[in-house]
Parts: sequence; structure tokens; C-alpha cells
Amino acid sequence: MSFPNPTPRPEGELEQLKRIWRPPSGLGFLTVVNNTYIGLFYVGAAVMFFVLAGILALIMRTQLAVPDNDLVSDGLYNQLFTMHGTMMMFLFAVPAVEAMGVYLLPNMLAARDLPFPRLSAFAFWAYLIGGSVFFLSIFWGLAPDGGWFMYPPLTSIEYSPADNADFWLLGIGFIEISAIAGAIEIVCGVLLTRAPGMSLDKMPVYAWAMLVFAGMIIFAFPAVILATLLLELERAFGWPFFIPGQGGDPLLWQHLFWFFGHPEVYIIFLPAAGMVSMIVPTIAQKPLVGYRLVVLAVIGTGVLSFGLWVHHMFATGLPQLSLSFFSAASMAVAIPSGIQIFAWIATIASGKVRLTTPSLFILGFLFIFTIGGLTGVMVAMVPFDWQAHDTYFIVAHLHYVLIGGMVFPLFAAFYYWVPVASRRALSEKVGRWVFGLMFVGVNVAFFPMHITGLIGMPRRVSTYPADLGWGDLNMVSTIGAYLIGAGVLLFLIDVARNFRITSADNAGNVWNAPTLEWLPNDNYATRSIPIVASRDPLWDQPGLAEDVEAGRYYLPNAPTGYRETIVTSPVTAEPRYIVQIPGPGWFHVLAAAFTAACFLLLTVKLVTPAIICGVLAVFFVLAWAWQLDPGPTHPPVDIGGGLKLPVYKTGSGSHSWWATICFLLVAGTTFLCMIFSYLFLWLSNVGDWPPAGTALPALSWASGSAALYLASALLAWGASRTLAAGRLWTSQGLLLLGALPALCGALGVDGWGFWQAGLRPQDHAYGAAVYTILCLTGVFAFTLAIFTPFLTLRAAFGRLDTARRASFDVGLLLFYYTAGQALVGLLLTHGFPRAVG
Amino acid sequence: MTAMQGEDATPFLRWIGIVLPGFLIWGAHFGLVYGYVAVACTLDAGVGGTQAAVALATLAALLLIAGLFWGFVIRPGSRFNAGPATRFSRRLAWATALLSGGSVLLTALPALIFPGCA
Ligand code: HEM
Ligand SMILES: [Cu+2]
Repeated sequence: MSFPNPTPRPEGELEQLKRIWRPPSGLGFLTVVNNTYIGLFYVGAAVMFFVLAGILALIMRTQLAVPDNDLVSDGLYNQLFTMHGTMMMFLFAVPAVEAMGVYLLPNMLAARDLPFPRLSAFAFWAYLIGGSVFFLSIFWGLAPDGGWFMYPPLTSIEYSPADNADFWLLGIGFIEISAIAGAIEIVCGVLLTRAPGMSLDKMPVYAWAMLVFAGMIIFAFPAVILATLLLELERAFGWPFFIPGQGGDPLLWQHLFWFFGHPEVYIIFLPAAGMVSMIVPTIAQKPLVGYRLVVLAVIGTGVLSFGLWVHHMFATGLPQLSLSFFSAASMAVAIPSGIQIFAWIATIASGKVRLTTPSLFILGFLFIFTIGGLTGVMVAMVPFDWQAHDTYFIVAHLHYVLIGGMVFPLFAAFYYWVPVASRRALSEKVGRWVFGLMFVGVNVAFFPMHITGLIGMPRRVSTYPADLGWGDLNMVSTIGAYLIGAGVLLFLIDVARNFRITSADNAGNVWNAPTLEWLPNDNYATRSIPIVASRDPLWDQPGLAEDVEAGRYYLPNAPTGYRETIVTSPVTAEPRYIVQIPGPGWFHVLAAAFTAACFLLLTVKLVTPAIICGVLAVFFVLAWAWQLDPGPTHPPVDIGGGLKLPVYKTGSGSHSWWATICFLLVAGTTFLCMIFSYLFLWLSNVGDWPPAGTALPALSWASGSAALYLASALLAWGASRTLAAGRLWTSQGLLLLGALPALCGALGVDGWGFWQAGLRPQDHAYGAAVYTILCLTGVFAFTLAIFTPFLTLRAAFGRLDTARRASFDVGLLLFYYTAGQALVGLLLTHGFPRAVG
Repeated sequence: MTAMQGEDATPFLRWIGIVLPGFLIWGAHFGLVYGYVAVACTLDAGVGGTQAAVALATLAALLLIAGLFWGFVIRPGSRFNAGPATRFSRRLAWATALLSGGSVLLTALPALIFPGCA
């Protein structure tokens, strides 16, 4: 076979690669962006939150061990289960799987790094800082206590006047933003930076799972972000979205929350299942059976899980007919999960499995998750749910699903992938004990809860009287919980003893695994970037590791002198261009810190310091963006085999274009959820919409504002055309003096129309909904009001011109999107009430 | 191998457009039927009409799925059959068609069997 690049490689090439990709040392280490470090920190932080939330669980179990216990007060118990649930779901489960993706994906796809390494570093820092402060709030008695799904009216200002609920809302809203940043990164990484030849049908199942996972985050998280926003607007400014007396409806929260909450379960499960699909072939030493079906199942799970939305509200009195739809859809999602389980079992059966620690955790996962699934079917049956609702049966089901479906695969993954990141593998001997303690512990702790639930013990109670006879079973559960704790402790000891972070001399391919993350690597990832010709390259392409390491494949060097990786086409993975990746820097770290500070200060209502931090955060984001979009700094480079690739790309299909599109999908979904909320509130106020005594503004307001929105989009289009024609300053003029004022003016006309008609957001849910729709457009107008002058500044400093226009294109897309969203908003707020009224 | 420097996002979008419409139709059917029932129940429209509407929406969704897949995947000479990575996408398209058709049915059946608003 002929390779793209000849060997031996020239003197000094390897040293240059090493130097360029070396992480900074000393205090500067905080600025590191390499995914191999950020990924590990990220995983480490997630494990830390897992341990902390686990300790809270142990306190609860200690309290519940005997009847009539008074170790923990009622109020504290409420905080404990809320914090435990919230932390496990938001600070552990989602970040943990996302973190594994940040670490594993580039390695598995043989990219040198993710395309936006600072974005993932930003997501990590924001998460770490925000999450820690959120956790600490429990020590000031400020921890939220409304349960992890925070149903109003329990969480409305009337019933929860203190800051606790605000902590939940802002803390979580913030952590979700970091999750979305990570998701955008993952979508771009998987679609754009795969090794040449790794077409979609050769992509590892894990990458498929992470792609769908990230897609689900993009479509599911906006719902909960909007929900938290609405509740916070109600709490802070009295906009009555959830107050029935003023046209609000508490059910709206539940719809929005579970539109996210149900996919959430699969958001957690899919990446875990993706890991299992990678580990199972290795432990069986056979290719995965039914690859196509598994991929289909992954996509199907992702899509269908959104339909499960309302099944969590079986007990809230929705019309019976709608409920039957959802119960049917709950069953539909069982099919793809079943397909994956059969594929794993068939793979295991086709090979000879050695009972290593990862295999044990996989078997444990199959067992526990299946039980969870069975009780899930019971829970999904509507009448049964009426009885089991809010008892310990649910607590048992939920932990079987979550621990089985996510914690066990994650521990399998830890034991399996540690040799990639560490000089030594973890101890097999200790690993068996870890598994044994956890497996026995989980069953001892949670199986009895099915029974305590069925004999009537409600969840979320801090104690129970002795004469009900629940004491023995609860004691058993508590012992089980401590066994789990012992297992986790042992794991941490194992990590402390054996985990030695390294990139150059890792333990190597100890399991004889088939995928690319097991290639020899260093800070620069693999020495050269292989051409992939199979789904299991290390099994099917003999000598691959050696040839990659010798530099015979693509890009064995750093031709532009910067960090760089190959961008390939999304479907067929043919090399398209070289992207220069930013290296370490302070700006994203500071941006994360001040964003976190801004949110947390807002929570405790220190408005002025919050605004200062917010301004600083914006400043550092801009400073960070200033360094992006390097432009065509270098002529096309030869990556080997006569392939000359450009170093810069703009327009549709470039990585910044993809990232912007993903972001706009988030924005669009948020807006769709708002449209849904508007219509839902209308349904609870049929015949009174707008409420009696409120007038709609005349149509001239709507048409005037629509004309201005259209004008702003047209002017932005004109700016793009003139830029392409080389008239930089005409283009800037059109954007800064044309499109931006038109947009702001349109918004002003739109809003003033409603205001002068006498509509106020505090009076009725109707007004609150209308003004929120306006605010969602306002956020974009505000962003553009900052971003457009920023572009002008770039133009003035020669950082924006006809060729170097990636940053301009981001602004352009934002203008188009904003105008589109605003027009839909106009149609809804002016057209709908007229159409139905 | 030549670099596809001119390539933009379209091949991928086309690929998505072929593999995913089954699910999208299911989603739309799901939303339509649920939304329609919620509104009909709130406004106290007749039960019989609701059932007929559900049946109609289901039929339309199934026909749409079948039509799309015929046009894109089965029809000889469809543009899709010329692209790269085809066999894989083809099978995936088949399977999504079946799965989404099944899901549409599963969503609709209970609505047809147990009518009424509680
Ligand atoms: C490691 C061992 C664990 C133990 C001993 C444990 C124990 C508990 C206990 C005692 C409760 C409170 C039940 C009540 O009073 O209603 C609870 C609730 C909960 N747990 Fe866990 N848990 C564990 C792990 C997990 C994990 C890994 C997750 C998620 C990934 C999780 C998610 C939840 C959730 C969502 C709730 C409900 C909170 C609420 O009612 O608002 N738990 N757990
Ligand atoms: Cu569910």
C-alpha cells in the first residue's frame, strides 16, 4: 500500500508538533484548552458532584433508617432531596456524559482537537464555578427545596418567598447554557473533524450516540431554559404565567419542564449506551452485531423520546384521550432500546467474553436496567401510575433506570478507557470489589423500595411513624446505600493509586480494542491522521498504529505553525480544508467566571455588582471573539498524497457556519416553546383572549414594525453583497447605520404599540406572554447592538474584509434570524387573537 | 482523492432530508393529533368528529411517509441512488420508514379505540 507521506520524516517535525500542542505550565495551566486535559477536568468535576450528591443521599438514608428519627429536620430534608435530585441530574449525569465526549471524541475520530476548544473550556469553567456555588448554597440554608422539578405554584413567590427557588432557577439555567455550548461543540466535532474516509457508515456508534445526544440537548434544553425564564420573570417582576387567578396556568410549567425532562432520561441514556456499544465488541473481540440497526435505534430513540413528554403527568388530569397518545408513544420508545440490548447480547454471545471489570459493569448494567425498564412499563400504564404516583415505587424505578442506565455504563467506561489517559490501568482486583459492592448495594438499597412503595410509603417524607411497619425495609435500604458508598470510595482509592495523567506514554491498547482512540498519542493526538477504511480500523487495517505513529498518513506536521486539524465533509469524510484551532488563553476563562458571577449575584439580588460582572463577561467574550476568525493567513498546505488544502473557509459548510446554525436552532426552539406557551395559555383562557378590557393595538403598528424588520434583513443582505463586491465601508455602513437601527426601530414600534394600547405584563398572563415574545426578540437586538459595532471595529483594524468574513457571516445569520423570528412573533401576537376572537 | 473544496452543507442536509422525514412526519402527526384533541376537548367539540379527524390525520401521515420513500428511495433513477455512502443510507431510510410508520400507528390506535375527553 502506498502512504500519503514518505518516511523517515524530516528532522524537527515532531518537536514542532510537540511544542505547538504543549499545554501551558504554572498558573497558566488554567488556560489550557487541549481536550485531553479539559475533558479530564470535566469528568473529574462531574465525579466530584456525583460524590457530593451521593453524600447528601447517604444523609437522607441515615435519617430514614429508623422510624421517628430526628437527625434531619423537615425543612432540611426537603433541601436534601431537591439538591440530591438536581445535582445528580444537572451537575452529574448530563455533564459527565458530555465530559466523556469532550475527552473521547477527538481521539476516537482522530482529530487533533475539537474545532472550538475554547468553547468547551468555557463550558467546563462555567459549569465548575456555577455548580460549586450552587452546591454551597445548602450551607447557607439557601438551597432550593421544591423538588428537582420545581412545580409551581409550590415554587411561586407566594409559597416560596425566599431566595431558594431563585437559586435553583438561575443556577440551573446557567448550567444548561454550559451544556448547550458543549453540545454545539460536539455536533461540529462529529460532523466536521472525522478522520478521512470515516464516512457516516464507518463512524463509531459512540460518535453517533453523541451526535444524537447533542442534537437532543439542542432541542430539549431550550424548553427548560424558557420555563426557568418564565418562572423567574414571574417571581422577580410579577408576570403571572403560572398564577390561575390572573390567567396563568401551573400546568404550563409541567409541559415545558417535561418536554425537556423526558428526553433528559434518554439524553443521559444514549451516550451511556454508546459507550456500551464500544466496550461490548472489545470484550467479545467481535464486531458489533447489527451496526445499522443500532445506529437506527440511536436516532429513533432520540426522536421518539420527545413524544414521551406528557407521560409524567398522568396524575395531573389531562384529557384522557391525549393521555392515551402519550402512553402509546412511551411504548414506542421501548423498541429502539430493545434493539440495542439485543445487539449487545448477540455480540456478547458471538464472542468469548472475559470477565474483566468493564465486562462486569456491562453485565450489571444489563441486569439493573432491564428491571428498571420493566417497572417502567408498569409505571407507564396509566391506572397503575395513579397508585404508584409519588410513592417509593417511583423512587425505586427511577434509581434502577438512572443507576443501571447511566452509572454502571459510566463506571465500565472509566475502567475501560483509563488506559488511554493514564500511565497505568486501574486495578482489576480492586475493580471487581468496586463492582461487587456497587451491584449488591444497588439491589439491596433500591429493590426493597418497590415494596415500601407498594405498601404505601410516600416519597419525599423526612420520617415515618413506627407503627406502620416500614422500619425494617428502610433499614435494609440504608445498608444498601452504604454499600454503594463503600464501592465508590474504593473506586476513588483505586483512582488515587493508579491514575497517572499522561498523554505520551499511556498504558496503550490493553484490551486489543478496534477504534482510533487506542492509537499511540500525545498532546497533539496522533502523529499523523489515518485514512479509515473500516468500522474497526485497528482490527482490519494491519500495521495502522505503526504507520500512523511513523507519520506516513496525513498531516504529520504543523505546516502553518499553529494548532490545526483537518476538516472533512460531513457524510463521506473527504478532506476539505485545514482549520487553525485557537490555543490556550485567559479570555474564555474570565468570561466563564464573570458569567457565573453575574448569574449568582442576580440570584441574591445584588443587582449592581451583577451588572458589572455581566458587562465584564460581555467584554471578555468579545475579547475572545476578537482573536477568532484568523483569515487566510497561509497559502494552501500539502497534507500528503498530493492533497493541497486551503487553510481558511467561510460561508455555508464552514465550521463557524455550522456552529452558528446550531446556536440558531437553540434560539428557534426556545421561540417555538414560547409560541407553544402562548397558545397553551390561550387554551386556558378561551373566549377571554385578550382579556376583557384589553385592546389590541391597531394593525398599523404591526405593519409598520413588520416593514422595518424586513428592511433590516434586506439591508443586512445588501451589506453582505457589497462586502462580497469588495466595498468594505459601504457594507459596514449598511449594517451599522442601516440594518441595526431598522431592527431596533422595528422592535420599538412593535413594543410601543402594545404599551400605548394599555397592555401591561403584570396584569394578566396574556400581557406577560406578549411581552416575553417581544423580549425574546429584544435579546437578539441587544446582542446585535453589541456585535455590529464590534464588526466595524474589526473592519477598522483590518480583521474583516472580503476574504476574511467568517465573523461577518455570523452577524448576517443573526440579522436574518432575528427578523424571521420577529415576523413570526408579529403574526402570532397580532394575527392570532384577531383570528380566534 | 481530490479535496471537495467547493462542498457546502447541502449533501449532508440532503442526507438528513432523506433519512429523517419519517420521524418528522411522526412528530407532526403526534403534535397535530394531540393539539387537535386538546383544543377539541377544551372547546367541547363532538367526540365523533374528533375520531374522524384523528383517522384522517393518521391516513395522511402514512400516505406521506409511503409517498416520500417511494419517491426518494425506491423509484428507479431517484437522485438519492446516485450519491455516496448510498447503501447504508438506503437501508437506514427503509428502516426509518418502517419505524416511523409503526410509531404513527401506535400513536393513533389508542386514540381511535378509546375516544372521549375525561
Ligand atoms: C448512589 C446512590 C444513591 C442513593 C443512595 C440515592 C438515594 C436517594 C434518596 C434517599 C432519595 C430521596 C427519596 C425521597 O425522599 O423521595 C433520592 C431521590 C432522587 N435521586 Fe437518588 N440516590 C442515589 C443515586 C442517584 C443517582 C445516580 C441519580 C441520578 C443520576 C439520582 C437521582 C435522584 C432523583 C432525580 C431523585 C428525586 C429527587 C426529588 O424527589 O426531587 N439518585 N435518591
Ligand atoms: Cu419518563
